[in-house]
Amino acid sequence: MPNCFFLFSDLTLIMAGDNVDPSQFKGLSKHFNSQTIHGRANVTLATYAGIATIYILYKLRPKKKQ
Amino acid sequence: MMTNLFSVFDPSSSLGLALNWFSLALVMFLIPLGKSIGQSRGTTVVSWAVKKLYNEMKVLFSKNSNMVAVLFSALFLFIMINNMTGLLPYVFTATSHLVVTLSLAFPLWIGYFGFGWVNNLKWMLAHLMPQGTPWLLMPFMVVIESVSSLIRPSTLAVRLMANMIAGHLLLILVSSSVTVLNLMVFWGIVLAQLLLVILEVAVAIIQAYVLVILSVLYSSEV
Repeated sequence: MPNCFFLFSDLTLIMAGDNVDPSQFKGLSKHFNSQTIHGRANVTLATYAGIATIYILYKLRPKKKQ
Repeated sequence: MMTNLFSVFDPSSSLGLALNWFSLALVMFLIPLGKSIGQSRGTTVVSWAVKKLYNEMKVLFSKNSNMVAVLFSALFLFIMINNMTGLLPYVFTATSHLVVTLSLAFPLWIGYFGFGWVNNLKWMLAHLMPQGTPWLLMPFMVVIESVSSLIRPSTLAVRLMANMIAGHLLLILVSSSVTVLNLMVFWGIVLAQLLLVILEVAVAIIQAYVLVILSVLYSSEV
């Protein structure tokens, strides 16, 4: 994938979280945290997966017989 | 003929063609061409304003892509001149219609939104959750940021449209009460309208600036 970071200044990279040391995170927080780009992306994906799961479970719930 | 309060915004024309939209092309005649070596007074004012805006925007762009800021400067000039010409009597205000404002905001948004999601998926996903969010707030922030990202073109368009309509409507409402016999009230209304027009000139410039600066900020998040 082409790297689009050349379009924007260092300011945007710092704001995004590229200056955080990922080695400080252990266990589950290594993959799900609010500091690194990797962690934040995984949290977003997990939230979308959770919403989709709730929606699918709601649609597949057994309907009461009248 | 004023059939209702909003009839002044009706895009109509008497020759069978929608010539009122030609006011969008007035920009071409009002921007100084700058063909002469020295600058005139008008060119100086316009170039000063555009340089100020360019200096603000280029902070968010790297040195290699400063020309992108020129696009946004041109957009600012276009919207500002359309807003200002709409304040002249009997000139159609194109930016008071959603079809114009959405035509400006939506392609900008879909451009960098589509580009960001296709080319920079991880970055876009990460940006939907602000850095440093507490654990409990994380899912809610994702939902809120997703919704705010999706409604951005409509907010950009509706903000400009609503501000233009509100100003013109206020002028119409104040002018409709001019048929009074009391001279003091008459001059009071004229003074109020003069102040409103001054306010509308400021709003015309500010709304153009707001749309452009927000577009730059949204594009910098890609």
